[in-house]
Amino acid sequence: MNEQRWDECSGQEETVFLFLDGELSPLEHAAFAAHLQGCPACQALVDEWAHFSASLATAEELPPPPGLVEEVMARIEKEPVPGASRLDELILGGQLLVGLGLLALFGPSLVKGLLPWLRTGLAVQGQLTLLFWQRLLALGRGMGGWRPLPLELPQADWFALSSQLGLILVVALVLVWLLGNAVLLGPPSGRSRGPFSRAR
Amino acid sequence: MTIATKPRVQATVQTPAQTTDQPTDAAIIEQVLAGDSAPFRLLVERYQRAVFNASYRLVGDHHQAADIAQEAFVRAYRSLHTFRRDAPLAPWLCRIAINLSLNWLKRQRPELSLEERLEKHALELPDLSDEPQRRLLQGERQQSVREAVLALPPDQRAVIELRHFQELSYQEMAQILGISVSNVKVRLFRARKHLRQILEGVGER
Repeated sequence: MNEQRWDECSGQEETVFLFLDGELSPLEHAAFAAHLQGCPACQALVDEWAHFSASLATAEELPPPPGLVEEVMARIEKEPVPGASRLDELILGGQLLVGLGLLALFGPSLVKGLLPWLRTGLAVQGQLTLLFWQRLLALGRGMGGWRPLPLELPQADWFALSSQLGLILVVALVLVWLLGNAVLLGPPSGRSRGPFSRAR
Repeated sequence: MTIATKPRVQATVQTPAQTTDQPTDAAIIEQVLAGDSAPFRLLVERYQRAVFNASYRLVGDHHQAADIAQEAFVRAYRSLHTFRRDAPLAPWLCRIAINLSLNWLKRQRPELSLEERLEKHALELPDLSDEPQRRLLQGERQQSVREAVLALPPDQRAVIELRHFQELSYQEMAQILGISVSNVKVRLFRARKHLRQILEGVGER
């Protein structure tokens, strides 16, 4: 390295780097380019460091280790699909939360709504059982022939009960889907995706 | 004056030529994101050299660079959905490897002295006292220059890697290194001077 050159134009070395790196402002760049025209020392510096950059860029590279591809692929086989896991986990987590929320909100109403049905169902069941035994006894005593027996159904608002039952069924189905999906399937992996998972 | 004002030196992480019978990076990424991880192998095969060497130039250890390259590809796979498809893949992969390498360097024991680093990397340079710039251009000097870079302290090695091999701007370098642009300038200036000192010093041995 010719030290003489550095001394002739001291203080410009840093500018030479900025110039070569394209980091000078347009004004500074133009000023330094003009300076270069009349400054052999700076020209030599620019030449030297530009050649140095070129030699660095073409520096010999080592070959990658032979097993690198297989090792990477072996690890990737165990990884979930990029981006899918996080999103699907969020979706499943959201489903679980919504399901639990719905259960907390409608759970008591569901039980309460089912009670009239249970009561009504038991009453009808009782009536039908009684009718069956009466008919059987009549047959046993040789009292054949059809003779209608009175069937006393309980008093109930059948339309309201049917609507309530429909609502109960819908909520129950939604709950089963939400909780079942979230709890049973879990987060998807790259190889096995649950039926409810987001299709790509 | 024949020197370009901003020399765009030949990058070592250029996208390999993709012939018509080979899927593009973007097509491979689409397949991987659709749930088929097998085509990712093609990306690893394409860029393993660039990623491995980006790491090696920083850590200076073959086994460690291999581990970092492997980790870089796995992390890239995990974050593939965040990659901008209109950007080239190689710099993105190399940047992951460089960040991992820088983190690894930070965890290492205190820096060695210049003499220790020269000894560690077995730097043996021919005499440069006559016309160093002319000799630097010679093909047989490439390996020695690489070893001279490895003999730099890690923080200076990092700026040389980012500027000369990855061709990043000062702003980009500052973001990766977590320092100011002014500090990048200072560090790069010192790194280049130090590199020259190493080359001259060894040449005078």
